[in-house]
Amino acid sequence: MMRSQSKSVCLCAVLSATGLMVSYVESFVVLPYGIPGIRIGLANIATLIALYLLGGFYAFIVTVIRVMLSALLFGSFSSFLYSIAGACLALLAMTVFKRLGFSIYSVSVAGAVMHNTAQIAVAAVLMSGVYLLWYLPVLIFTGVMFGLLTGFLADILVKRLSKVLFSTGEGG
Amino acid sequence: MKKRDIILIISLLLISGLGYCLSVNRLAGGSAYIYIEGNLYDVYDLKQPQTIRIEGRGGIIDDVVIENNGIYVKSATCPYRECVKSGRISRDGESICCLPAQILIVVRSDEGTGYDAITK
Repeated sequence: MMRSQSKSVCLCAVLSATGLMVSYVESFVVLPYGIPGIRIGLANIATLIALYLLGGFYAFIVTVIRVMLSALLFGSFSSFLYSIAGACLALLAMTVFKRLGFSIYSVSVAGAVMHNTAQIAVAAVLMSGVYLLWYLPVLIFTGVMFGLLTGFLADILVKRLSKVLFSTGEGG
Repeated sequence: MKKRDIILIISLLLISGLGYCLSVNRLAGGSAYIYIEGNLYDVYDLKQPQTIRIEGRGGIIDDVVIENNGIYVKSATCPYRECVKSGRISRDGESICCLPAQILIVVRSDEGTGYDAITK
């Protein structure tokens, strides 16, 4: 798929901004479970779109910008550490699963599960609490469920956006 | 979705189901261990109802209540109050953590068997 670099940079900026706002809005949604770390992960849709339309490099940029701005605006340094660890490992998992030829659903699920696993692992290391790993089964389950949801949404968006953005004279 | 996607998702669900079964079969707890910034702060018997005030990192104060062989964080001065939302815990290995204050509350059984014995 041929495309100009300025188009990629623009889309990258739009996706970063969208991801930031979506994750901010999502922080108001309180899920009725007593376990911290369960999130829908809607911001991951922006990363998935970047990964599928622009490639791994731009997906990395989108993720880092979103996490940094989110920490600067709404979070603290410790929350930044948790977020960046989760986000980077999730992106790594998504890139690997995409290369292996899995569909966008699996890529999304892999990202969500990896994000949860990385965050609980960082928490377990920082607080030397191996007991936190007992939450892992629940977090894997919710990761699969919400990963499928975000994968479904990202699938629709990637298909439509690639038509709109790259249809003129490039033949998809 | 392809066949391999379905296999991946089903295997992840199986892993989480298996892990969950292991985690609910834990022993009833006996004591609550409270850690601040990774260091053991104090140990409390869950059979003695009481309210404890703990000061964590950054001056964040958690009010912890022990009653009916369980423990929960009643109120906290941290921004998100994930520890309060965690609710009551009572089984061996369950924990409540307050990330901003770096307070970790872990329930452990007094028998010293089961999970404890395996991992140590």
